[in-house]
Amino acid sequence: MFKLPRILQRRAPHRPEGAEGLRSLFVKFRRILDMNTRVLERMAVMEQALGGDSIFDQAFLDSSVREITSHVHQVVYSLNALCDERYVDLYDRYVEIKNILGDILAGGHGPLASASALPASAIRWDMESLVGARAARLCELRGRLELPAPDGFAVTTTGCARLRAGGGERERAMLAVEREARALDERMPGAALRVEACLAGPEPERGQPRSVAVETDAEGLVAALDRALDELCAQSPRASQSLDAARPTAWVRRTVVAALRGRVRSMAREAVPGVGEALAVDAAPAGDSEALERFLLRRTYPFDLLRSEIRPKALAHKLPDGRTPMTPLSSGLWRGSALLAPEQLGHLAEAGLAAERLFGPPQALAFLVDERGEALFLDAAPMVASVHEAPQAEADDGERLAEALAAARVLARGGLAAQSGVAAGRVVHVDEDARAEDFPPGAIAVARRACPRLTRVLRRAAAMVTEVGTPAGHLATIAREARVPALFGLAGALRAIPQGAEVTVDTASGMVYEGIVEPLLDPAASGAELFPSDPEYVTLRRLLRFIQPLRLTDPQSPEFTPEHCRSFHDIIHFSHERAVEELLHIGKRHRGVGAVHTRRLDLDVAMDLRVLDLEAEARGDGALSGEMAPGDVDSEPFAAFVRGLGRKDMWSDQPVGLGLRDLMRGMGTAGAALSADPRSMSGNLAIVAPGYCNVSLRLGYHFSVLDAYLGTGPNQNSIYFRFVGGLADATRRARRAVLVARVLEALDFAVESQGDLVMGRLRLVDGPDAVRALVRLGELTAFTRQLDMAMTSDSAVDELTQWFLDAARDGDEPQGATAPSTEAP
Amino acid sequence: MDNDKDTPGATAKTRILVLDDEPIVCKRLKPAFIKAGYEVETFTDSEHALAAFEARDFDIVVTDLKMQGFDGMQFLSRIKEKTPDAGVIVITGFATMETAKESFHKGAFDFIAKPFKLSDILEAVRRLEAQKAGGGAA
Repeated sequence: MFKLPRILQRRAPHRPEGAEGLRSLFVKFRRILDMNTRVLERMAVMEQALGGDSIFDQAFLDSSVREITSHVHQVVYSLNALCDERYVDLYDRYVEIKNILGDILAGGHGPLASASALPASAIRWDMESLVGARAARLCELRGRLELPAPDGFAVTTTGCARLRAGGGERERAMLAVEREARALDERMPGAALRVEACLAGPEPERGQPRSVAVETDAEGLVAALDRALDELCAQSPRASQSLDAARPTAWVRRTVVAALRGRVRSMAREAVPGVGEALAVDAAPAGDSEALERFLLRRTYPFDLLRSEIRPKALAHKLPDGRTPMTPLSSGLWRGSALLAPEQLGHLAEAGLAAERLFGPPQALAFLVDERGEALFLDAAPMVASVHEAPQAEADDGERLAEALAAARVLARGGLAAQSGVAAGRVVHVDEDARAEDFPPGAIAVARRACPRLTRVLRRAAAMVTEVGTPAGHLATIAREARVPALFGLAGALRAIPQGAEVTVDTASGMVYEGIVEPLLDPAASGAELFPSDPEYVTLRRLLRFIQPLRLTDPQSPEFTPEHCRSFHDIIHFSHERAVEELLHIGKRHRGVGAVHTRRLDLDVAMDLRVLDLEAEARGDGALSGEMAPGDVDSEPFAAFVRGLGRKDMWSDQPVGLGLRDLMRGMGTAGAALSADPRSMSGNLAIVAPGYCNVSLRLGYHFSVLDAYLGTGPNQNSIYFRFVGGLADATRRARRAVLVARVLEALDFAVESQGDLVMGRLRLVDGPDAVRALVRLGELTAFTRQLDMAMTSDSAVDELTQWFLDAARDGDEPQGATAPSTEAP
Repeated sequence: MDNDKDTPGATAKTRILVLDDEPIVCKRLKPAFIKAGYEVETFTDSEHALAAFEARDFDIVVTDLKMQGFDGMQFLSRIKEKTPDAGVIVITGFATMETAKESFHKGAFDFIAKPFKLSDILEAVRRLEAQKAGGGAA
């Protein structure tokens, strides 16, 4: 348990009282807000650096961690100062994460370094030195690209060292291995297992074994691990010199019966005259490697077949996909005698290029096709040791590139790179409602807005270009995660880049060229990007894992506690929520500070809303009395919300239809909340400051909370909206929650729902978009006031959602329409 | 880079020397400059960079400040002593008003704090080229 510094232990009793005490509390609250904003901003800068558009070094990582750590410390300190040290446990979490970040900056893995075994779902690319290259890449193919790759688990370098150490260490590793084997059996029941032992770290030199495989069952697993590790160490000169330095590791998966085995090379060894670089697929029936067939395809969608070497077969020969050469296809053609059908070749080509985009250099992917005709990727390895060791675009290459670029016709230029990279292919225009299934894999997506609903389209695209959007948005984060080149904010893109055209997109330069500019697609020309193999990229991703994820989103959850904070984001979010709660209970918890001044907001709608102005309180002007007009409040996010709240056509004045069941339920749950006196700080209350508002509403039997920051740039803008409750029965409340969730999604919020609870978060948006979203939230708050009563059918959800979105689209100016009746039939 | 006829480096290529003791910076700047039509040599230590500068003609120098051996500020001074009209762009992860002032005082053309965007450094190089072409002192 972390102990408070002595200076804190000594100082705790002093607590200013009266007006000074009140001001002191508000200053602490403001400090938490300010630090929160700064942490979020720095976090965004770090995440955006993954996109490769900026040049940074270790010093940037050091200073970023130093800065964020200092701000988080101030948040934890201020929260405890605000709450009489009730959250001292939070110091423990802070110190633990701080130490992890220090370890990562020093080249460590953080807490994962001590794990003996890790399941596939926990393995990322940057753990290569812990689980080996094969496991790391396969898990990325599976997790990030959603390609078919085997489920399994890795016995880490730590686990392997423990196995070989004997004694208690070995026991510990065996327990971990057995636990993961049981978990795999639950996910994927079966008997046979395959152990593949390899050395972590750099790829072995030519002629050295990449791995040693042993097949076994669950009972013999540990013995099989021992045997595979022994054999690997005996075969590998690296391991025979120093086992510690060689760092053996093992990947364990279910065995699969193969009908066919093959390899995709995302770049063929030789270019094709007149075409340039090609992609190669080799395949042979399992157990008959002599019967190899070869295919060369274009590296751009739709991956035209350039050349093939196919073995002759009898017309009745049963092929691995279960068909014969004479089977008619939907295209009207016969299947043909190639081992791999055209659509299979297309999928394999797409996978090879996606792996190349993700990992950097051209990739060789080993695959099998099982007896059901489904492909499974078993290995991924770079075709050169590192992209930076590939021949650089020097002299002749540079000349060739310069000539090609000078000759290329520019279709569009501008925008900002969310993810750097070059891609080429056919253009497909998409709108926000585009279905990912309809989007041709490997095509270039061009859209109006970079909205999160295009996430699945983006994952299938070779590149994405949008007219509106910034590298700070949610879709940009997805592009960086999947490493899909993305160029956002390119004005006029839909007009300048025609549907169906073949183009080459260079996002780092902000250029879209007509046709395929082959020299630009050469990996040697792309070294300016930041690759996952770069140490700085690895460190940054490891750091972000303990800084960025937000898991504690629901303050009502029993897990919303300091001990469940797993990242700095969790800590600052927890602190913020608890700080708001402290202000809401200030009268009870801080009796010595005197009265808190709230003023009623003069709204032109039927609603009682009181405002606590932190700035005025901190200045000592809080005692101003009487009503205040919305224009008197110095808080841009609150002003935007109130603008929407005051939109009269969103307020239905129709009586609601209550059933007996609703009334009975309402008496038990919402009655107490509704009878609360707003002046006790538990009614409708807005805590406001310049650039910030927190609004807690009990309106028409539901609770909603809005928490919004508006700063000087997208990285500072953040909106959180929570909506729960209602008077109607559970089904109707859940229907209203669906409506709220759909509206939030339409506003680009990331949404989580459970029953009648909906939580939405919108971050990293431009100021005007954030203001628009806040206005919409005000309108939504008014519109949904008693809407659960009207949710008598699923079709009502569709109808009312559409009504709201149409009305919202009309903008802030009312169009004469009024909200549909909330009267239940 | 585009198909404009007046693209920098389209005729006689501008030669750039990059000095930064962080290999990642050299690795990424080199292909970016090549793609933009320049000739580039990169160095991670100042001794070798200075030797190269003295042995060959470079139009533009891009240098980090904080390095092992003699640092970027000394490197800047040495370069200016040898070739007063050499165009120098300083890049640093430890940007302060003092270091910026000192860099400009010693004759740097521009001062860019890390992290920076590729477009920022390319833009600085283009401005420097334009100034040199116009006969202004760097």
